[in-house]
Amino acid sequence: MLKYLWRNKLLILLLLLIIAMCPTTISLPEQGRTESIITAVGVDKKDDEYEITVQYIVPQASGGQENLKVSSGKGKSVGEVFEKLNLEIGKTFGFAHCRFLAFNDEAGKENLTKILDYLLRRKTNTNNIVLISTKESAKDLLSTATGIDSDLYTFLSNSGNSSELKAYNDLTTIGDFYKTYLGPVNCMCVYIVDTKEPPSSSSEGGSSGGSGGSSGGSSSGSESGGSSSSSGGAQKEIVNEERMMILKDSKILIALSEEESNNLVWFNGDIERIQFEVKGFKDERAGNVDTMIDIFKRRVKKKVYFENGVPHFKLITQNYVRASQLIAENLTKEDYEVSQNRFDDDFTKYVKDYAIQKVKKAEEHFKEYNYDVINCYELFYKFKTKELKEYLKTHSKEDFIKDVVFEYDFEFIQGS
Amino acid sequence: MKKLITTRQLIFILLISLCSLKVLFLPSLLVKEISRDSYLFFFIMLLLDFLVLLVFLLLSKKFPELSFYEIMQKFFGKVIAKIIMTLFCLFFLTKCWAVFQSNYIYLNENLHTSIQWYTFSIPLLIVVFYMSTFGVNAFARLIEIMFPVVLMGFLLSFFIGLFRADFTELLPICENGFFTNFSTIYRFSFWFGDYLIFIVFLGNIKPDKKFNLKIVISTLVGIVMMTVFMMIVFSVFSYSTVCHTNSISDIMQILPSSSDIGGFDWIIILIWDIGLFLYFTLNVLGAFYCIRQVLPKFNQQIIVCILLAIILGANLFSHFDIIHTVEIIKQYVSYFSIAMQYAFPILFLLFSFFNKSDKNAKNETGNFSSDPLGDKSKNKGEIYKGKLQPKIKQSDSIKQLVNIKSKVNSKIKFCITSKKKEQKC
Repeated sequence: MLKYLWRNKLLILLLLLIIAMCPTTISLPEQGRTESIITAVGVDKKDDEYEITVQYIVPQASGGQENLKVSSGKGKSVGEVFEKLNLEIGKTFGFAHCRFLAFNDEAGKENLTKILDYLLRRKTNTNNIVLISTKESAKDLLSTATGIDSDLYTFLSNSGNSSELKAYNDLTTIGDFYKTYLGPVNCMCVYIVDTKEPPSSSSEGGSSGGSGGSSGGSSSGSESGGSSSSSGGAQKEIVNEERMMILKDSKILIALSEEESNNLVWFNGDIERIQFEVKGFKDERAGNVDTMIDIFKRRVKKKVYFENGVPHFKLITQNYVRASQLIAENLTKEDYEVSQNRFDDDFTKYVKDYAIQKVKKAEEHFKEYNYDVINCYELFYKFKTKELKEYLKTHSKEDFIKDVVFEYDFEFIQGS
Repeated sequence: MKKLITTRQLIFILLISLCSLKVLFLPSLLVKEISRDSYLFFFIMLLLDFLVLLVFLLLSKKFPELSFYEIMQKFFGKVIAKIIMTLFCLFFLTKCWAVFQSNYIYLNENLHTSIQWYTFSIPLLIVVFYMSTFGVNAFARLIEIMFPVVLMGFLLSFFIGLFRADFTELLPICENGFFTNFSTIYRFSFWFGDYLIFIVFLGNIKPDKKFNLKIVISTLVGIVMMTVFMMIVFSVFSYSTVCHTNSISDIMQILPSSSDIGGFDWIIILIWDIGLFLYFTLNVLGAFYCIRQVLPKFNQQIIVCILLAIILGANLFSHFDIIHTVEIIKQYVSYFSIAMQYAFPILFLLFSFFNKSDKNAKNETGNFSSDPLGDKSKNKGEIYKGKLQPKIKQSDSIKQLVNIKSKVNSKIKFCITSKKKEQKC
């Protein structure tokens, strides 16, 4: 057998190859020494200079907790700063595990492709990096997140009004950004996450990253999702009010308030759950008890058509609802009984009008500021191509959203 | 003569050829040129390839016992047949060049970010060298074993993409007219025409009652799957498809869970690398088969070495740079590939009508038998099962013996008669 093996030229050749390659393989440094694992990137622009902050993991030999670190550098272009940081840290950057890219307002006012293009061309990049906007400084945001020893993704996933808004896979990623950037309508929204100084008296305010998501609703407190840095340095808080920033032509157009952001949610067919508070409904049974409504299942259809040469957009939703919470100072037994059968005709109509009112507010807003974040133009482009071509002969594509007539058909069905 | 491969093995070979290279760079290249209608072009080209396959099936039915080279000899004569074989050898070599480079780039971008060309090339070329010289039978068996793995990888990517795809992204269909972009897309024909590998196995397939039906059905299913895959790619990546040069593994990154448990597209990367390796070896085999008919007296191992050296040299010449290679292919190689993939099969079809069916003709040489194992077998007289066998048939050898015997007898008779004459004198 051995004789046969030794006669085998292939075996001998492979052995020779292994012997030849062994020294180079053994002398290779471990990957952790040559490559740093980036978990988040922050880009700030100040005085025509980019300041880039990277949050990265330093692997611990003894295992256990991840060791997060933050480094930053300045330069004239994003590529230049990354090169500088490479030299400073002494490792190449691996973006495969990067989950967030935060940019401040100043950086967002310029075309974002200047920042993203560098990342897009990295070999180790994934297109799943989520974009977030921050008002003042992305560096502060990353430093604060590092201070509370949490990677930003875990923190944000567990904070904020999660019942009201998006699953985090629905966030705008670099992949989504380029889809929209190369598509017919270059308009999208990203979330705003800010940092702020904590109130001087509140020493107990900084709960851990996983706490803030219980209270929901459009009128709920803006402090939800806040967490403060527990380590030394500036004791800042991360504030996630789930507000959205509108980007048009790859630049910041306008920052929406919390209410405006929530109003837009009704147009998003991917969102299955919405919670909102209905106030001011008075009837004989329920009295003045405000009710938290939970839409636990939604079906959304969008129809587009031309009528007399005018584009129409119809939003049809079927909402399965239940009263999830009563909001009153002293709840009586009767209040509970009433809440169980709250959805009579009057109340359903009230809720429907309430929802349509919200949607109309959103419509007014995007018509006023001319941003087509609901992809209205794209729907016409896909399904009414010929009519749209005819229409655009006499009308401007830029103001298309302003000319569209919106119609709403909402249905609320009580479920359990 | 011993037949080399079964119908099932041939189907696997055709299916691997159909999908290996097309699911990497091609979608992004096509989308760059013709945007959302690229899947239509894809479908049309695959149908064209299917028609080419039908031509070869016709040849195989008409001349079941003849190899491709023998059919060419029958059609055009020895000299032109050798020229055609040389051209086909060049065609397979260009394919090898592109596949080898794609394989390197694919690994380099996804798995080993700092792999050197020699670390990648040397082991791969050694293995391919042995695979090529070890015999078609062994390679066909390897494909039979590995095909389920490759298929599983494809289906995993296919279904994950299917469930995440939004097919409205494909609308509007042909917004600028159907033929608007067709003037430029012929340059992508190089990525098609993979059924030409069939020529290697002509006359060497084990007889099967429903051979044609099985081949037609399986390739049609393959064509439909590939077209749907192309639709999925565009539906998932939409306008950003141009950024996704490794579509089969990039699709895995769209999973929402991938950000939590890390990208596991490496499963597909590993699996697809097997597919690329098989496809590369197939093309080396194709080139080897063609050149062996032209240079039958050369040692097969030396021929394979030269072929592999040419492939490596071409890749070094183009600096393993896929963008550079794609441009060369689009500018120059595309015309050559159109001629080989479509013009030649039409010619074969026409000539097949003018030549009578030769079902009773016996394959005298076999595909890998015109030179029975080069010098090695001649010297040692070894018998290699299923590979480049010396095709001296029993009947031939008997005839030879009879001839020799008759010659000897005649000589003996001559001697006897001459002796008798002498005695008489």
